[in-house]
Amino acid sequence: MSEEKTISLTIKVWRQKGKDARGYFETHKVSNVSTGSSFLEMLDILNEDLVAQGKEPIAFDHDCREGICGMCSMTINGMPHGPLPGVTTCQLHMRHFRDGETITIEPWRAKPFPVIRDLIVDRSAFDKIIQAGGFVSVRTGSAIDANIMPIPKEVADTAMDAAECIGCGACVAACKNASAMLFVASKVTQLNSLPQGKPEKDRRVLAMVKAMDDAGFGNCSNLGECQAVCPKGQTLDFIAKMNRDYAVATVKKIFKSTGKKKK
Amino acid sequence: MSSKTCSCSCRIPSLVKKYLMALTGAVLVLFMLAHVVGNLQMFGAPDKINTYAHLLHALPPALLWGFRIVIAACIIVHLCLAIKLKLENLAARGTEDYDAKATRYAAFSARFMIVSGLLLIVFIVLHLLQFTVFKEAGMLAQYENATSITAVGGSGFFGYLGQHGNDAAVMKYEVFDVYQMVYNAFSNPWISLGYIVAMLLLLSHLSHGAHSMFQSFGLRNEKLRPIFRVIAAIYAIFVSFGLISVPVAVLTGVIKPNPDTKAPIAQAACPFTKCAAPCAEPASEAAPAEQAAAATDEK
Repeated sequence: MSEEKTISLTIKVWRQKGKDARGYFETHKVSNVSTGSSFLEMLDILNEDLVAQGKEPIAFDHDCREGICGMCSMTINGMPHGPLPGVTTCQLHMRHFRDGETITIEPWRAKPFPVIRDLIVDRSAFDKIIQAGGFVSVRTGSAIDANIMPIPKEVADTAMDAAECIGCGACVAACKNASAMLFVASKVTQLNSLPQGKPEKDRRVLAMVKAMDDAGFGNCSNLGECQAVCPKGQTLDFIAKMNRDYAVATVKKIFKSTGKKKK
Repeated sequence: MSSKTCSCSCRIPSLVKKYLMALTGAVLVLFMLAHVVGNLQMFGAPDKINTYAHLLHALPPALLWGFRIVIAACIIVHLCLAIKLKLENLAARGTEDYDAKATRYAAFSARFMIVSGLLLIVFIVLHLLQFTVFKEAGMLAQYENATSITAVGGSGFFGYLGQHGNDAAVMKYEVFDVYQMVYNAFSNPWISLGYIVAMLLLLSHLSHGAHSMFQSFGLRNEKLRPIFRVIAAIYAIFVSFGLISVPVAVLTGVIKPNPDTKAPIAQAACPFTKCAAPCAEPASEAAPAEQAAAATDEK
């Protein structure tokens, strides 16, 4: 369009050569950034400049660039995925920044998310949590009849809402305690709400919380920062459900029948 | 992989810590409600709070100490867990913190919990020293049997507890003068100021804690959240301003010295303008009736 505006920015960005290297901030100027470009496209423009100058480009995670994969992971001016609610970094456009503004870009900061390079962090701690209980057992063989298992609409809605979580880790990055409760709670709610997930319900919540604690994530203080930054609008409701499910599972575990008398 | 050696040796599951914080917090929330209702009796006649205090101390020792131990245990568990949680949470952030810091949603009172909590612990220690430990240690002997209350023997709590005989006559008992002790303490503007600051910290602490505990137990959703927040805010304001009202009333002269006391009155109710002459008058010789008359004349 003829209305296209361009802005110039100062980018203060975290650079770190590798996992064990010392990180530092680097400041770059980037000009001629179209306000219609996304935040990642702005970084692409900056990287092209850097490559042209014979410098190392800034490494950052990205994949689908349409807000559904959960790969992009950067903290923009202290806010994971930037200042807008409900968007990932790739869906954040440069029209939300002022000409001449200085933008600070940092990786997710959490001990279980070590920086691999520049803005890329290792999020395999989330994979370990999923391995611990983020699955359902299914009967193999031919597909079952579609409507054989009635699921109330509200239950399906809750599960679908929880399933929206893309596992980007913004909740951990935003949490003042680097807690992963919102991520774990979304997964627990998604699977524990549906009849398909019922058989492992108690085991799942206990195992996933244990995996979360073992990974070294912080504790939840019910602050609500996670909910404010979540690009998928996950809420503390899911954490409340996880708290309930965990309490029930713990009580059941303590009082479970120990089986037959040993001979 | 199973257990990374953390700075702390014992690993309590994060959600169990959350339940314990909420449970001990809930007990303290209920306790504070009872405490403030007790304190507000300062606005009644002196024998009102003195009767109440006497009744509490007349409880069977097992009950009184059982109650004290439960409250103390809740405070200790709440404090120790808070410190442990804070250390774990700081460790979870990693060695590098954000250079640009931003807060989108979290309330100040919620992020201030550890600071308000630790300052309140300091207050609680001083508060117990001033009003409980010193009394138990006999350092407040001037208030012992310094005033009298009237109660009907044989009926009501005293009769029930069997503390004061069984005859049904209206009887006067010599009791510890809590009213005058509180009055004297709050006549000191520095004590009152410290107390008011502590109660404002309590306001901050309760305004997050009193609704956060429901979330910790999983008894909350997006619909109930604003309702619980409002209830917690009303509760916190009632508790803290209810408690603050007592020193304010003493300093402004709304609460007056106990006319029926043998304990020395520490100061006149004009603490901001220093009295040239010491206002304390040892009134042990004067008969209670004359004292009462003198007190009313002063006004």
